[in-house]
Amino acid sequence: MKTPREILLNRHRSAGPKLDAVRKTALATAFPRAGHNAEPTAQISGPFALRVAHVLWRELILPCRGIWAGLAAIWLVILVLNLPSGGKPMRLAGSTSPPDQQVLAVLREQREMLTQFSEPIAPSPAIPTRTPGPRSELLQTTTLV
Amino acid sequence: MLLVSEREQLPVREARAGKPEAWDLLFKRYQLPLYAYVFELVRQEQTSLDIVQETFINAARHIGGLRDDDKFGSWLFGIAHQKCLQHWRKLHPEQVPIDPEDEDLPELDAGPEEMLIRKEQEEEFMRLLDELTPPHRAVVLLHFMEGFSLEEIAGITGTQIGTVKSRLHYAKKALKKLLVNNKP
Repeated sequence: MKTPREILLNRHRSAGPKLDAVRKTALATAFPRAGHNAEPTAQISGPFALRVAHVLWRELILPCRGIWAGLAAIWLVILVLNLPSGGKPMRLAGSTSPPDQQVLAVLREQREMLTQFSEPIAPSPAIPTRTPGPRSELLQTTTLV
Repeated sequence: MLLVSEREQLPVREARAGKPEAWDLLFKRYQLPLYAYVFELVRQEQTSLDIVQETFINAARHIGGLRDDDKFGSWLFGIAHQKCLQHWRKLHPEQVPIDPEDEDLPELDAGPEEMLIRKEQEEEFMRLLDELTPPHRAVVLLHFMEGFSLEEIAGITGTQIGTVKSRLHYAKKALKKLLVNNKP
């Protein structure tokens, strides 16, 4: 007679050597300096910046290494695609067709009008002012009418 | 020297202090039940070995997340269970493990050590286990292999205690039926 636990464990006992290897790998990964009485990776000592870098590497990079690798690959593809153009921006102005003659004529006309408007306005000739004659002359004219 | 004889005497405090030999003992203690649990859920040898290894590494790195040293076992199985779920979701992104009925039923009395199975019933027991849905199987395995309490199983599987209770009831009922039918 066996308990369910015994039956279940006996069923998988053959995996023992592989599990021993798994255990050793896990220990070596979690405690890289285990042979030298090391501290766990969670308590790494050293300068603050090093510890921060280690934590970032462990928490940010390692768990999503697939994603980071994918991003790196995408950037590589972008760089490779960008190489034939020599990294210079394309000259769009040079590739455009020459402007139409009509447009040029209109532009020229507008420019001329602008020049005309912007020129200083010449003063109009002054109307000659008539200086009134002597009072006696004025009286003579009135009596004649 | 550190010795593992009983569940209560696990060198968890030493492991917290970062002693590799303590971790070695803990891993030795749990490697087979953990593997058996994972294998019965994912059914692939290499995947199961990978999950056990990742569970060990995660445990060593995140031991700070364990609140109660006495709960080390259920905490470790909880990590493994999450990894099994991740594997499941990767294989079947649109499917959720089937969970047929979650009735609130009374718990059957027989404990994990009280149920004894004869040699000729072993194959039938394993067949019965295979027929259970993954959520039911997980509960039964946790109950029979480590004798976890309902609260601990609920914590490991991330379900309500009532759900665990009904799943266990369902599975134990089926097992009892098997044992009664096969009585000489």
